[in-house]
Amino acid sequence: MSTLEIRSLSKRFGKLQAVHSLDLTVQPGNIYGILGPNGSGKTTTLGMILGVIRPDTGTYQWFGQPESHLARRRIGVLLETPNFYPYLSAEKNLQVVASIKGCGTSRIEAVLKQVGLYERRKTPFRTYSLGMRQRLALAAALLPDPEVLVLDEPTNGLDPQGIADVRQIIQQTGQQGKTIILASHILDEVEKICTQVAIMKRGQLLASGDISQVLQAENRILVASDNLNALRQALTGRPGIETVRTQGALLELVISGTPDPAALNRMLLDQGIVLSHLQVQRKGLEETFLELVAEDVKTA
Amino acid sequence: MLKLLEIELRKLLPYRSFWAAVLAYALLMPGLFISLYRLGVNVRGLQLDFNFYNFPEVWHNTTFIASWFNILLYFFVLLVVTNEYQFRTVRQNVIDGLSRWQYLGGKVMLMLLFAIGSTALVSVLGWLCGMFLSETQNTAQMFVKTEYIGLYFVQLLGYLSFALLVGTLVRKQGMSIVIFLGYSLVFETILRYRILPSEWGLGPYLPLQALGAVIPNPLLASFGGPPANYDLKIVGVSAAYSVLFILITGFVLNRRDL
Ligand SMILES: Nc1ncnc2c1ncn2[C@@H]1O[C@H](COP(=O)(O)OP(=O)(O)OP(=O)(O)O)[C@@H](O)[C@H]1O
Ligand SMILES: [Mg+2]
Repeated sequence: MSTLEIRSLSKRFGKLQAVHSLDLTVQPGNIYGILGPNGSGKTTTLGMILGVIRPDTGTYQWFGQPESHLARRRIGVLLETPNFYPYLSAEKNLQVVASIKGCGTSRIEAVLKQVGLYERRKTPFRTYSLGMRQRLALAAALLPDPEVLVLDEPTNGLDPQGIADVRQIIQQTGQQGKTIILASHILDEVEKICTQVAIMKRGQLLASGDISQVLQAENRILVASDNLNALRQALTGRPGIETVRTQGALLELVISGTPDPAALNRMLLDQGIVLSHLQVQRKGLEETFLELVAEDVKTA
Repeated sequence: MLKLLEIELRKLLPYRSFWAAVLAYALLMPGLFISLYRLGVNVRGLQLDFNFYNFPEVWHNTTFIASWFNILLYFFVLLVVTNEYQFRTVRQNVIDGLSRWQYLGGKVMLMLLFAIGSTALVSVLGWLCGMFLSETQNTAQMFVKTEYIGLYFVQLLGYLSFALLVGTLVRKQGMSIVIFLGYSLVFETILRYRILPSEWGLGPYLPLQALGAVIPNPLLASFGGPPANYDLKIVGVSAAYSVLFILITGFVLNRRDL
């Protein structure tokens, strides 16, 4: 049973197609990153699966059940901006959340400590700084000790310590086998934490799946030898090698298909070229992301 | 349902404006009653002395006077409803796991609580006035006309439901007050007296016209006007409007993006 299954979900705001026939499946234990430029429809998608934005068409299922508010009680959510009663303290705000979720108030102290807000638990939300508000929203998401966490830009407004705390919370939660859906712009963060990614643009998916698959789309091999010119000649025009570029003292080969460094090494040895450097390099998430997003612009 | 009320009370009880409103309400209403004790009016040399507090008329008089005062409660409901949009907490409540009908249920429970509380207050004050401020000792008539307490409840709930609907539709605090007053004082009056042909007889059944007539003005009779008896048809229509306002609120809430 999937934790979340989205089937051709669409949403239009006036003339703007914010989300266009989106399909996505999240399995239990996934740490699923959702990436996309500003306005690509991430928050809208999350808003729809959390019951606050009405989809035009399409369906979604949490835990294999038809849409219901009860599923949302098992999910911890931080969506876009922290929304709390300004005149209530952190503690009282969490009590409201607890009575809606039906999860009891016993964990309030623990989550406030976890996000570093315990000292300020008695002061009204209105007096909090941006980062403190975000921390309270995180505490609210963690309060029911949920099976699933949905976090939309959770590090927004946080200081470096806060960002590190969030990363740690996500990793810890992931290690407990829980599912996390994370929309973020901090790509190396996502690359480090997530096991799956989906890349959105203009309401559509450009790529989705295991992070290794998405990143493997194009691979490169870096090579060097004492005689760089001979090496370049030997490689240029070889089947399977798309481009050869000089990168300082190295040559960068863009490989089509799965790279096979052993075969490459053998082939060069047969020609009497000895490599002093051989390294398979995956493209980083950031690069993949920027290229995917840019490619789409060209074809559009 | 009690669970929903509990959630609403958790939001409300620490809210200062709530206690300010409760305090104002609980102090001003008795104050108003006492100040009207033995009111004398001199109209063109004609001395009219009122005593509102003789049984059984006390029930009619006190509920009528109190109903003017309830504008405080309408505004408070507007405030509570629009706050949820201003703070975007309605969105958060739904994300956290309330269905939209449950969210509405909480608000309706709260309105019922206000209406019951206010009705209880008026009943107690009415009885006290009848016991201690009346000129006659007509206690045999004490339970006659107590149906006005029920009428008061129906009327109050109707207005509060209207405030719920306006607050939900408009979402903005200031604007909702403007629209609430504009609709009730100006729009319906024009509709009733200028637009709707009087021979259709629909005017009295417009929502706020009907609600306003649930407890007819008892003072007119003192000036020699017609005796003021309530009209069961108006009362029924008013109760139906409450249900209608709440249902429309629910449908609006259900269709809308939060
Ligand atoms: N309530 C709304 N009314 C009109 N347009 C909206 C509304 N909400 C979102 N949009 C539009 O829908 C598109 C998608 O918005 P969304 O908030 O989902 O983007 P996002 O991917 O979360 O962006 P960001 O990275 O900036 O958070 C945007 O073009 C936005 O302007
Ligand atoms: Mg967003």
